[in-house]
Order: sequence, then structure tokens, then C-alpha cells
Amino acid sequence: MGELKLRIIGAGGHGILLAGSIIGTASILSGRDAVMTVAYSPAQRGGWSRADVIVSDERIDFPIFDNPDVLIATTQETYDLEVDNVVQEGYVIYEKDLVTPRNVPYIKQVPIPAFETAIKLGFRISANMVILGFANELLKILPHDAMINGIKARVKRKLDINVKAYESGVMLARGVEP
Amino acid sequence: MSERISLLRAEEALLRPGVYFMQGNIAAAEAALLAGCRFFAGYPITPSNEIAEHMSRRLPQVGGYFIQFEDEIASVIALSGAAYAGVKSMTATSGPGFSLMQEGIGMAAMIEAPIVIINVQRGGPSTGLPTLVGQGDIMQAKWGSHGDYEIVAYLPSSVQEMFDLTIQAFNTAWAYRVPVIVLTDQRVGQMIEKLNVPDYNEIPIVGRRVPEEPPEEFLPFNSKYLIPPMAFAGEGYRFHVTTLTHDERGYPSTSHKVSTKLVTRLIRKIRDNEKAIGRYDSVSTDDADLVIVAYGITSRSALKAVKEARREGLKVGLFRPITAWPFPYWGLKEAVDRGADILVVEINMGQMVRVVREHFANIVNIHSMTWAPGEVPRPHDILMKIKEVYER
Amino acid sequence: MSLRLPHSRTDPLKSLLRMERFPHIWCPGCGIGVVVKCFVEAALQSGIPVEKHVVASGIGCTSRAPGYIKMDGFHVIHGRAIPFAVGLKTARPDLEVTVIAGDGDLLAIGGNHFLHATRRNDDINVILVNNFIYGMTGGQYGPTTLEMAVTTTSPYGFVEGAFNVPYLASALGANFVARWTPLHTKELTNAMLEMFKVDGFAIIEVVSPCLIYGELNNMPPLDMMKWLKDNTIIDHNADLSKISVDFKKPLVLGNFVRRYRPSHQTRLRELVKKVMGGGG
Repeated sequence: MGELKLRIIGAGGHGILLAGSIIGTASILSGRDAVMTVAYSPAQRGGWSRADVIVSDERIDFPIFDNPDVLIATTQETYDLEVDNVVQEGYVIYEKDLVTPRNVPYIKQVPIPAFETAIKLGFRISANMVILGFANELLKILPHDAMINGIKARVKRKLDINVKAYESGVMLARGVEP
Repeated sequence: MSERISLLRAEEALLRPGVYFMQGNIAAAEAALLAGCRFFAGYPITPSNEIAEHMSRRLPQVGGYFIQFEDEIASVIALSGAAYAGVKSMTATSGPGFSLMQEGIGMAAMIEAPIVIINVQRGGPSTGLPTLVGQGDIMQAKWGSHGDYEIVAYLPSSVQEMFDLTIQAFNTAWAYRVPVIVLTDQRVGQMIEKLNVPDYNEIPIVGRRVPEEPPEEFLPFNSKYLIPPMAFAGEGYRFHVTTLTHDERGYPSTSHKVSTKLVTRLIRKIRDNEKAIGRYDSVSTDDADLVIVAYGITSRSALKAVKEARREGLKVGLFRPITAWPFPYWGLKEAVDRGADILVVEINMGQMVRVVREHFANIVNIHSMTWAPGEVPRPHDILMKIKEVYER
Repeated sequence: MSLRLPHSRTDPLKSLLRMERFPHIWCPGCGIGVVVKCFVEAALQSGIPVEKHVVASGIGCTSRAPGYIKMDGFHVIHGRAIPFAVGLKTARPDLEVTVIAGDGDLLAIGGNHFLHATRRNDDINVILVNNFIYGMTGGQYGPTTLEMAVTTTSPYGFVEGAFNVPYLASALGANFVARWTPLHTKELTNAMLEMFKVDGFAIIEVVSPCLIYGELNNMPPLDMMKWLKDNTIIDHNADLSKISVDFKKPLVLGNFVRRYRPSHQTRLRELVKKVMGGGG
């Protein structure tokens, strides 16, 4: 796998930081290294949150990056803010119902109906788990078991439904209707 | 030396040995609890708030006390009160609060109260950049209060070091009876990274040196010791402490002899032990023509730049001071003797470079890469500077 | 009114004084020595072991008091005696911690700490010696200087207004508030004994003559003593809003306030007990 730079950004309340910390935790629990830095929009309320995560097989020298290999954006505002920063041949995963993508050459863009899937599960705020499952399955970032361990280590309430949401995301990535 | 206390407090809810994905500020708070801190006094300030918030939740769980005071002045003063009552104490702050704490740091140095201050540096001067990184408090940490005194300041560059060096800060504070500053920065304090908590028996914990004399013969600042044993209030010593220049009995004195003896000892207890206290790390410096000096978050960027430079065939190394004060100049001596150039990279307008010049000016070429607060210089920025210096 | 040293070698008061440090630094006619004597007397009578008594002070004439008292004593920087005492008391709740300091130290540079320690109801005793002036630095005005008084920094008269200390402390919620003078040694000692029993913030204002203030304002200490002797009223139930210090009207003294609000430290201990017992 080497080193992967992942930027997750979306509205406050979209579970951005939790999603980032699950990947980071999954990475270190499976013997890899990880680092996460967090940023917020200047507005205190109604703004965005951003989690920059690096996962690596080796010790990470510098925890900060400007250009992600993978961008996950859950709102139009945050998509617009970040899409041009993605490296060439990088990936963008965006929320299908909230983002209208722009044509950007040299990057791959993949929609995901994360909120729709989470609402079907009866737990709208697990959309972040759907995205995580989708992204990890699509990009093979970390082993499945490691991610489940990461969720177990980080999620305090409603663990079952969060794991279910994660697995729904995995199935979406496999092209299987969950 | 000082009393060493084993960490057998299984009944207490301390952070268990193991691997964590944890924020630097929280790792420092947990480390403080493991080091025996049972009193925290502080005032809210970004970007150090996670430490106070975490301590307010965790201290009562281990039988300790948290007070959010009316300002940073009261907070740092209360630490000395708690220390003289025999309780390990800590505060956390950032630039503006650190400025307010200077009189209390000078006081703790004068009355030899072991206290720990975590300064999560942000951009300055003044209110500056509350949420963004800076490294502009290097000089203030050493020279911020009036008069001559010594402190110790650590420079963590990772979450692991936020943990390790906070424990070390308590041990140094209590071994040397000196205020110790964990001089971190917004990036290191707020990033989330791998933390490995070792088995408790691998964590040395240092306490005070207990007085040997009976109360009638006890001198609180007995100059037969470089670091006098410490009595606590309420133990029957009935000792006197003053922040005025004082003799061995702790009584005020205006005698130049007394002043000389006191100030010399306050300085010597650190300077005579600088090599025991001072620490550094170096990477690829053995054959380097150019040694980068960088610390905190900047050292992480510099490390990447050094690796890239090496790939391009440039003989560059990294010297990372782990203590700002005392500055571990002896770690650079070998490179200087070889005639290597030095490049100091820091998020300020040139502070540590002055210390490097103090030791090595007129011996080798010393270059400075300054950087205004708010952002961390990227590896690319440092690499450009390396090439500029290298090609000169 | 300098402190009269006990003559007998067996005088128990002597055991609580640092005899090797006498003579003291206070001016003839100063009231601070009497406050020290009353404090030591009260400490002896308190039944609290002497090693459990701690005194703390800041900077100024009054703040030199702990230097003459043979207890664990902390003479710290200007204005910071209260936060030092709060840290000490919180860490060691079994100690009886008394701050002895002046009006400038406690109410000007230390004013914010006074305000918040009273609000929090920190379990400390405060003996505030009010002599209306910064004596040690040569006679500058302070937060309790009287109307139109001449000081070295108010040569044309003081026009800022002064704190009414008991009124202020009561409004902030102190559990015990009293005012006495060095002429009322019995009452002052008894008030100190009462103060030791208080769980929470307790304050005694001691209105005291000062040579420097007297010299600048045509009121030598002996005249002031005489005035205090002839012009004081003891009224424990006085309306505190009306008892500001003013030489044009009688000075009202008394043990004005006794409340039983649990102290900050008691409440912290209860909180810790609850958190530890309840598993957090």
C-alpha cells in the first residue's frame, strides 16, 4: 500500500472526524502508522470540518499535506473548495445527492448515495460509515478486519448499526445493492 | 538523588499500557496523570484547551483536583502553592497566557517550586493567530521573567513525545526543583497520531528529595546541596519561604554575599547538569556537509526534506534539539569540528539560531531560514533553502 | 503600638515567633505588630496543631508578617498570596491557611483574585490590614485611600473613591466578614478564632494606623489611635452599605457576616468522592 493521503471534508455533523479517526485507528491497530490533522471553517456554526489522514506502512515523517491522493466530500461547498487540490490520477468520492461534480481531467470521480443508504438503514447519521466502507473497498486502503476493529475502538453508541452501515458501503463498492 | 516512586497504582484509572491513536494534547494530559499530577490550574486558551478539558474530566477520577482560575496569573501561582503542599501540579496555555505566567515562572524558579507548564505555541505577537501554529516563544521560555534564573524546556515533535516528555518534565521539575516547560506547538498538540504507552514499570517517576535533618536543624535552602531537599507545608518543619532574595533559612536578605550565593546556585543547578538534562536526536549527520537544526513540527518537515536531499545526492543531516533549554550544543560539536554548515529552520523570525550562533559563530557558517507563524514550512520549501545554501 | 515582646522565656507566644528576626521592620505606631500578636494568640487558642497552620502573604508592610511567625510561611509576589493559598489549601485540605496582607496587595494588584476566591468560597482566611496607603514603597495612594487624602501620588488630594471592604466581601458571598482595629485586641483575637472555624472564605479587615499616612495627612499614629478609641461603634448587624471608612463619622466595627455555604474545597472533595465512587 505504501503511503496514502486522504482528505475527508463535509459539513459539521457529518461525522467527518469520526470517519478519519476510524481509519487512523484501524491503521495503527493493524501495525501500520497513521496521523490525522483536523481543520475547521472559520465560522463557528454551520461550517465545515476537515480530517486529513495519512496511513502508511512505514513511519510517517511529515504529518501535513496539501494535495490528497483521495478526497471525500459530502457537500457542494467542500467539494468546490478541495476538488482542484487532488493529485493527478487521484480519486474523488462525493455524496451523490448533495454534490454536482465538475469535470476535472486526470482524476477519477465516483459518486456514492451515502445518505440515501443510511436513511434506508433508519440511521441517517451513519452515512459516514457507508462512505468509509465504500472508500476502503474501492481503494483497498486497509484490510476489512482492521477497519471493523477501528470502528469498534472508536464508536461508542449503536455499534451494530454502524457496522451494518459500513458493510452497506462495502457492498455498494462491489456494485451490489445492499 | 531524588526519591523514585514506583507506579503501582493499579486501582487508579490511569491510561493502560498499549497502542492508541490519540491527540497530542490529550496524550500530554494522560502522561501528567501517570507522572503523578493531581492538581491542574488553568485558564481557557486556544489551542491548549483540550488539555484543561481532559484534566477536568480525568483528575477527579484519580482523586485529583482541577480549578479553572480567573486568569493565567493565578493559575501558575496556584501550582507553586500545590507543589509546596506536596502535590504534583501542572498548567497548560498558549502565547498570551504564557506571557501572563512569566511572573509566576520567575517566582517558582526563585522559591524552587517544581511545576510543569505546557505551552502549545500559536502565532504571535499579541493575540496573533489563535488557531494556527507558531514557534515564537523559544526566547520567552528562557528569558521571559526578570532577573537571572534557569528553567528547562522540552520540544516534543510527535504525539509520542508529548507523552514521553510530559512525564520527563515532571521528573526533571521534581529532581531539580525547577519550573519545566513543555514547549510544543499547535500542530503537534492538536494532531492525532500513534501513541505507545509502555508498561508502568518502564516509566520512571521521580519525587522530591526528603530532608534528612530534624525540623530544628532544617534549612529550606541549605547551600550544602546544589538542589536542597524539599519540606512540604504541614510536616512540622515550620519553614519560611520568600520570593525576596533569601538566605539558607529562607529569610530575606540584602547582603550581596547572600545574593551571590543564591543566584549562583539557581543557575548552577541546571548549568552544571546541562548534559544530564539536555537531549537531542540526529539523523544522517555523520558525514553531512550541511546540518539542519529544526524542532517541533518543523523538524518533521525538515526530516522529509533531508531524506529528499539525500536522494538527490546532497550530504545533508538533521539535528533535532529535544530540549530548547538547556540547548544541547555539544550534540553539534562533531559536525562543527568537521566544518559542516548549519541551517536553522524555525517558525519564527530567527530565535534558536541566536543560540546556535552563540556557540558556533566564527567557527562555521550558520544560516537561518525564518518563517512567519500560521503555517509550517513544507519539505519542498526547506529543500529549496538547502539547495540555495548548498550551492553557495 | 509596636509589638511588645513577651518577657518570660516560657511565654507560649514566643514559641510561635521567629525571635531571631526581631526587631521587626514596622514603624513606631504601626498596627501590624498587634495583628501578628493577636494572630499568634488566636492560633495558640485554636486547638489546631501549630504545624497545621500555614501563613501566606504578598508584598508590602503587612505581608512581612509571616516572616516573624514560626509557622510554615510563604511570602510570595505582589498580589498573589490568595492564588498561592488556594493552590496549597486545595492540595492539602487539612491545613489551616491564613493570608495576611495589605489593602494594596489584596484589593488592587490582587483584586481579581480576591473577587474570585470570595465567589468560589475558597476555604482560606484573609486578614486584610487596611492602612489606606502603600507604606513600603513610600506612601502612594491605594484602593482604600480616603477621600481627598494626600499621598505621594495624590499630592492635591485623592479623588478616586475607596472600597468599603466588608460591604464588598459580603456582596461577593464571603462566609465570614468582620472589621476590627488594633485597639480591639480581644475582639480581633476572637474574630480570628471564629475565622478558623469557618469552612469557606473568611475575611477580617483591620483598620490600622500608619505613620506614613499620618505624616502626609496631619494625623500622627497616636492621634489616629485616639480617634479609633473615641470614634468606633460596635454593631454586628450594621447595614454594610453604610460603613465606609470616613474620619468624619464613627467607624463601625463588628463580626458582620456568618454564612454556612460549603467551601469550594469541600465541594471539590465531594465531587471527587462521587466521581471515584461512581466509576466516573
